[in-house]
Amino acid sequence: MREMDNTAVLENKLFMPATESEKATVEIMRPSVGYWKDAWRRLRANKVAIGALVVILLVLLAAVIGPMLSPYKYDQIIKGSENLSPNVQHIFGTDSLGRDLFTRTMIGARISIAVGVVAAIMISIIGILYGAVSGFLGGWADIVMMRIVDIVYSVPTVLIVILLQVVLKDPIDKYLSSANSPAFLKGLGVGLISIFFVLALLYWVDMARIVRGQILALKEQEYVLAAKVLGASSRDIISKHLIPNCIGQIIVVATLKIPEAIFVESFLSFIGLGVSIPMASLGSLSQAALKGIYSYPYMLIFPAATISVIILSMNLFGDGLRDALDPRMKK
Amino acid sequence: MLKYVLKRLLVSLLTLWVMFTLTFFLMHLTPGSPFLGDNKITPEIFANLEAKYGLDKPILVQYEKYAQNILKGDFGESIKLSGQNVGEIISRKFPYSLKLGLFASAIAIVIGTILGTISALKKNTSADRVIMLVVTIGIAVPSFVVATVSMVLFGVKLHMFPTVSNLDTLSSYILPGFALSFFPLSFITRLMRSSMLDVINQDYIRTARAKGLSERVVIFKHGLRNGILPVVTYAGPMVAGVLTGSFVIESIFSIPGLGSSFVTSITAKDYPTVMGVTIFLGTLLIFMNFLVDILYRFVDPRINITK
Repeated sequence: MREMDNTAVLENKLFMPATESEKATVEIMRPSVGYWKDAWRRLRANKVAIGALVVILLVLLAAVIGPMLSPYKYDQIIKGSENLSPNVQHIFGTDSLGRDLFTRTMIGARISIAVGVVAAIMISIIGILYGAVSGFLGGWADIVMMRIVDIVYSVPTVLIVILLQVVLKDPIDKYLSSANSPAFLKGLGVGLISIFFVLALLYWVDMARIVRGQILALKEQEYVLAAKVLGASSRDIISKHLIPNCIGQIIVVATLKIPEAIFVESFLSFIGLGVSIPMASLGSLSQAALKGIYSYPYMLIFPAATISVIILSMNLFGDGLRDALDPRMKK
Repeated sequence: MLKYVLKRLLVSLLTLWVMFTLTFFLMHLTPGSPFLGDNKITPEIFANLEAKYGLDKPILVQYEKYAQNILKGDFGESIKLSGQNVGEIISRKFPYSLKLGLFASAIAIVIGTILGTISALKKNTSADRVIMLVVTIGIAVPSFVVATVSMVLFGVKLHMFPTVSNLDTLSSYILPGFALSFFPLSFITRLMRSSMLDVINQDYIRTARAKGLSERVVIFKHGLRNGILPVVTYAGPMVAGVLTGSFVIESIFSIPGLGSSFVTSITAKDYPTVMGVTIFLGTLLIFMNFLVDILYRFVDPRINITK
């Protein structure tokens, strides 16, 4: 009986082409706001984060093109103008060898930022690969891989960092002085290369944990099943479906790793294990200033303030980025 | 509970072993010798020295020997300070680091908790903003900057506190203690603020207020005791941070502690000392983390320990 009622309702006019007014309702009134656009809108509304971004860009500008515009070279020793306090010619003053501190601070900022960015990239690559594989495989592989992460996590990082820094110096030095080492590596110097090594070896753990957590949740989603059914390989599923879907968190973690790496670099340079002379990093500049701290405190103030400003603005921007890209992570 | 403790103990021991092995092989697989330093020595003396410190034996034999010695509490002899046992060096210098570390940790926990609570209770007032501004800066400024700047300002310019200290008077604790505690203090303040904000919006706080309890009882008995839990978890990393900080702080203020001697023995390639101190501090840190993990489960019965 019911079926007969139903068939009676299906009249012909229901199958007529849609009228213009009906079509208008389907039209898109406003372009849909995608993930990135939405995130950018949230970020732009965050005054602190934007302020921090401006500061970062200014420091970056000074670090990249500043030394080229400066009349002095960072390792240029000007006889007769040692230990000058800040003045018109040398706005940050000069050091005990007569080198312009403004240029050296800019070079130092360049080194520090480069360390932060390169280290963050290396940490991300290792962490993403490790975390993705661990999360995707699951089971025993996951358990074993995560136990390794636990161990790396609870090993006192700074002790091992210092130890590695001491230990790596000789082999890297040997490699660099051999004929077949690439020229750009020679330009970096032993100190910087071993800092990269050390950071990449020990600081990927957070990234691996977060990516693994994301992958664990994401791999149960239907689109992964669909990809699997369509015959996609595990590699494709990880690289084309899973990782792009947790890119937000990855960016946030990577951004917050930059100041952390800068922190470690300045700490190592400060205790004399960082960049090699005459190269300057903000940490080694601060350390060099320590000798004359009673008479020439300005030598310390500028690099110390620069490093604090860089770390502070990176932290603030990273926090803003987290709120924008992943509102659920908001504290 | 016992199962959990045993499992954590196992992971801690494993970590300790990994760290020990890593340290040992890193130190021994590098080319170069601590004896080939500034002054030239004849091959005979070199061989004698190698034999004295057991460096001429195969590496696995050395590893076994060193492990046995460590288990007996024998850290070996320092190469640069000849005749001195590393264990003695540690026991002589560690008290300074411990005293300073305890002082800094106490400041960080007490003041951090208070500031965080004030900040949470007075959310969005000017007091909150000032506190948050200070601690945001505190997280960004490296400890060596805090140490040197405060040394110049309060020690050299204002002559308020000594700049070189043996930690014999209370005033000599102030500057290094402050420099060392600034970061953990800032971190705890932020932690405490967000956890207190969470807690004071809970139902049981509303219930406590509705019962007519005084604001003091509500905050101290119901709010603070729950809000302080995340600070407990931070205690492990804090010890690590305070120790790391002490490496530079001790050199800056010329405190004869373990941190400054670690830095000097690194530059002097004094391998036994570096290894001894690494293993000592590493053990301390891993033990602290273990303790905090267990403690946390006791303090907060809501956490399911069987998982």
